[in-house]
Parts: sequence; C-alpha cells; structure tokens
Amino acid sequence: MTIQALTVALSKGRIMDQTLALLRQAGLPVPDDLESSRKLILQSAGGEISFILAKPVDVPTYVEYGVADIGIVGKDVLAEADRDLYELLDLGIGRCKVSVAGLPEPPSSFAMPRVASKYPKIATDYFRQKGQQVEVIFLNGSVELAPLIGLAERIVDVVETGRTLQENGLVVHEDIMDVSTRLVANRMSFRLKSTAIDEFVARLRRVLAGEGVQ
Amino acid sequence: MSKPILFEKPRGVRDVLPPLAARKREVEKKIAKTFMRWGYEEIVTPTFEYAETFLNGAYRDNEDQMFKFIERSGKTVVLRPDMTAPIARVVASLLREHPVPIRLSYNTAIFRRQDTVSGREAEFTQSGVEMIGDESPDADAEVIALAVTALYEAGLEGFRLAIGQVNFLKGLFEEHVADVHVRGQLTDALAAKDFVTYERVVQSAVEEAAARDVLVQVPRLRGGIDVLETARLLTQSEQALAALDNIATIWHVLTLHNVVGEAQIDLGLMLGQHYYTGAVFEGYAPNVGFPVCSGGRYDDLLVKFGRPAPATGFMIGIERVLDVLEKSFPQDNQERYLVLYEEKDRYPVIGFTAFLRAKQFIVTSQRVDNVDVALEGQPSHVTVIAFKEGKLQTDDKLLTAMYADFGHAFRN
Repeated sequence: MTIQALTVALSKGRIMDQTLALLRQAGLPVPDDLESSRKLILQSAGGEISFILAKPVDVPTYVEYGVADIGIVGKDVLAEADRDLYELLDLGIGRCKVSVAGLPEPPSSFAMPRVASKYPKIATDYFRQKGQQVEVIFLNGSVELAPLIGLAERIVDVVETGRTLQENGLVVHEDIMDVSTRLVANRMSFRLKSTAIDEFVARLRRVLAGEGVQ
Repeated sequence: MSKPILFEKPRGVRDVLPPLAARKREVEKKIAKTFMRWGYEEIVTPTFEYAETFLNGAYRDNEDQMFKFIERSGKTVVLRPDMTAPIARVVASLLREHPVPIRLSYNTAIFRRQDTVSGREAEFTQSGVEMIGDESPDADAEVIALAVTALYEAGLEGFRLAIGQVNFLKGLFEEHVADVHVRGQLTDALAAKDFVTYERVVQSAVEEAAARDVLVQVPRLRGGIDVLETARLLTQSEQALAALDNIATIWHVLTLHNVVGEAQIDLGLMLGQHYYTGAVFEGYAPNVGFPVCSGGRYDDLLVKFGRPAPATGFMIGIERVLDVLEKSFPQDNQERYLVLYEEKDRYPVIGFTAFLRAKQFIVTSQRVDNVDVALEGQPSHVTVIAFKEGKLQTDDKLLTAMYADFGHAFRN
C-alpha cells in the first residue's frame, strides 16, 4: 500500500457512519473498533493511517495547521471556517442545504431585521451580497427557537428534510447553498505526501464513480 | 471597548524573546549570506510609503489588507505590505540609469491587516530577492535554485517546491472555454485550491465533452518532468505549449543547478496574486502547514512604474522557517559561562573574561556581594563558575586550561 503515515480528521456525528462505510468500501484501512471506542486517536491495524475523531467545526482548523493531513467535513462548516485548504473531493454524502427560514408570513418590513444563525459568516456574506442590512445573532444550537420567541425574524441554518422547521411552524424562504461532505487536505501535506494523498483520493473516486453514490 | 491591560499588545504582533531572537537573526544572516554569494545586493526601503505605490502593484484588489494612516500632507500612507512594489519603484526611479539585469535582495518586516488566526500575523519578516531585466528561463531557474539553496543554508531539510506556469492555464482555458466568465470561475477555483468547485464548473458550464475531459485532468497534472508530456497531449494552444516548453527548459536548468530533487511540477498551481505572468512556485517543509516560500515571474509590474522590464523573484517567510526548525531540529546551544566574582577579584576576572571572548567563548562576568550566596539560584542553562580568593573554582578542564594560558600570557 502506498498510503503511509497519513493523519485523517473525521467529523463526529451526523455523517460519521456514512463516511466510514465509504472509506471501507474504498478498501482503506479503518480500525474495526472505531465506532465503539472512546479513544480520540485511532491507528489502522497496519499503522498506515491515524484517525482523529473531532468535532466537525474543528476539522478545518486541524487540517489548516497541518496536525491532520486530510479532513472529512461538511461544506457548511468549510464555508463558515474560510480556511486555506485544498478541497479535493465531493464525497456526495451528508447532502443538505443552508437556507434562510422563518415564520410563513414574516412581517413585511423589518425596522431592525435580525437573523439568528450558527453560521454568522455565511449569513453575513449572504445578506451583504443581497444588499440587505441585517443584524446577525450568533447562536450555538436550537436556532429554530429564535423566530418563535421573537429573538430574530429569520434564521440561517442547515435544512436536511425540513422536518424540524415544519414541526416548529417555520418555512424555508431562500436557499443559500448546497452542502455535501468534502475531502480537504493541508497545503503542505498535499505537496510532501502527494503519493499517499493521491492514492487516498483515487480510491474514493473509484467508489464514487463505480457505485454512482449520489 | 475595554482599555488595554498594561502589558497587552495589538493583535497579530509579537515579542521575540531570547533565545528565539538570536536564532531568528542567525537564520536571516545565513539567508542573506546566500543571497550575497549569488550576487544579489541588499536594498532597504522605507517602512511606510504612499498607498498608490502598492495599489499599483499587487494590492489593487487587497486594499483593505493595508495598514493606512494619514501623513502630514494629508496623503494616505501605508506600512509596506510587500517588498516587490517598492523595489519596482526604486528600479524605475533611483536606479533608472542602472543597466539590467539588476539583482536585489532584502530582509525586512512586512505588515498586513488580516485575520490573525492560523499563522497569518500582522507583522512578519520576509527575506527575498528580485531579479529584474532577464526574461530567460535561466533567470527563473536561478531564483528557484537560489530559494532551494537559501532554505538549505537556513537549516531546513525535506522541503519541496511546486512549480507551475500561469500561461499554461491561460492558454488551455482560452482554447477549451469560450465564455470569459467561466474562465474566470475556473481560475478562481484553482487559486482557492477548491478542486470540487473547479470540477463542478467544468462539468456544468463547458459544453464540449472533449474539452471537459481535458479540463478535469488539470488538478492532477503534478509530478516530475513526465507530467509535461501528459499535458502536451491536452492542448494545441500556442501559449500553453510555449508555457510547457518554458517549464521544460527551467527543469533542465534546475538539473544543472542540481536541485530537481526538491522540485515538483504542478500545472494546476495558481498563486493568489494576479500579477504573475509566467513560472510560479511555492515551497513547503515538513511539520508546518503553511508555505515557507513563494515567488514567480511578474513581467507586467515594472511598466506600471514607467520602466518596462521582465522580472522574477521570491520571498522566504522567516517565522515559518523558524517554526519548522524549532519543530524538526532541536538546537544544540553553544555552552555559555557565567563567572561570579567579588569586588576584590575584579582584577583578574574582567581581563580573563575578555580573553575568553577573544577565543570565541560566550561568557558573562557578574559582580556579586558574596560568591557563595550568589551561587544559589543561578539559571540552569549557563555554566556558573565562582571566582574566589584569587582562584577559579571549577573542575571544567577547558576553562582551567584557558585560565592557565591567560596567566602565562598576561600575568607574569
């Protein structure tokens, strides 16, 4: 195997199971106990790859600083983090959208329009480009709550099935971007570990093309 | 806004303490010496200049990255965000009559207003060269070979330089993509290193299937000299083929400089700055995620200052190099001595320490009230030696021998 001494940062949570399935399908050496273990760093059986299990928002940071050579993380997180990385591959999993949502009939004019979001950068950039002046309020979770309790008229958040929005009586007003899971690489690693990274990407590419993963 | 705490500093600037400051100076000296040996002469330009100088150069699109203030005349001046524009200004004015080629080098602080996360400081040090008035591939190869040599001299190992050619991409895109807007999107995606968007634009905005097949290969055109052969099959554009010939020649000259082991061709390499017009390169070293050097050809810059001339150059990020050195190669320090003495032993201690310094020792003499008391609590990174009752109190054989020599030479 031409893959040697590679450190891969994986995003814990939503996309983890699909990511691992994809890596295993590609014949990459994923430790069997990765799902069950509580360790944060795991080695593949042959020692070729170290896996770091990280919070998704930290993955771009790990990769930019080079403590991980490769990272697997959603485009929403990447766009928000705005790090200088190589974005090598769309893994086609974890598909969703970042959208603007709110009550079905929002007030027609906002005196002080407010938008709540876990993605302050994406939200700020989007409304700036539209020429709208809004105050973006950063929230860590349960963003759907904001319109219900009058903190903000609108929210910017990821929408997968729309069920959470629906259950809270909210609707999507506009879509900002399509999201899927991406493979990113550190700039130094992309050069100095080019053989290993190219092989890693090539294997995943074969799976994505052959299986037609959508 | 809260008031700064007494010892607080603005974001993005830092103090360099001992021993790092000495190591930094050492690295700068080694690099400067290498530049000098290759015939590059050092130049110093002002720390701040009119904003127009830089807007004329690479900062047309990055105006808000400059630290600006208003000079007494009411004009806007900025702390220099790079050295290329000031050198172009000097070459076009003060050195106007100086025949080309002109080889200049610098080592200086650079100031940029940028997000202070992730290795991007507001003030940092660059060492670099500009080679003006030589359009030959030999000049491109010279600066690349010089970059490799300087990095080795600085103490780095295991680094690699990626070499690209902006005209290859320009020619290839003009040949295969009709829409100027789409060409711009492809260029931007490569500059952002976003291959996913690049591929998506190719698949969705390029009509011909054959063109799509060619374009998707661009990010994978990297490796040794054989990459050029693969690339040749993808294009009939004169500009792109000329760019490949240019890289082939540069590569050949690099073999003569004996530095191809450190080089890699990457035809998808697109450095951020729009002013590059030919071969470009970027260097990476183990353990540090950011480039340690970057540079390339910029033949259209000098004309903006009124003296048309081709040019190429590069800069090394000194802090990045130091970062690699600290992580990869622990420093072994030269032994440092501290001689403690009381008033009555002033003679001969001061004379002896001067004698040691002349022999390249690092030595400090320190007067104390009581040598025995002072021996307690001295720093551990120096060898502390007491001088008491007219005697050097040490088992250090070297120092004992030096003291005997000193006695013979100066104290009959």
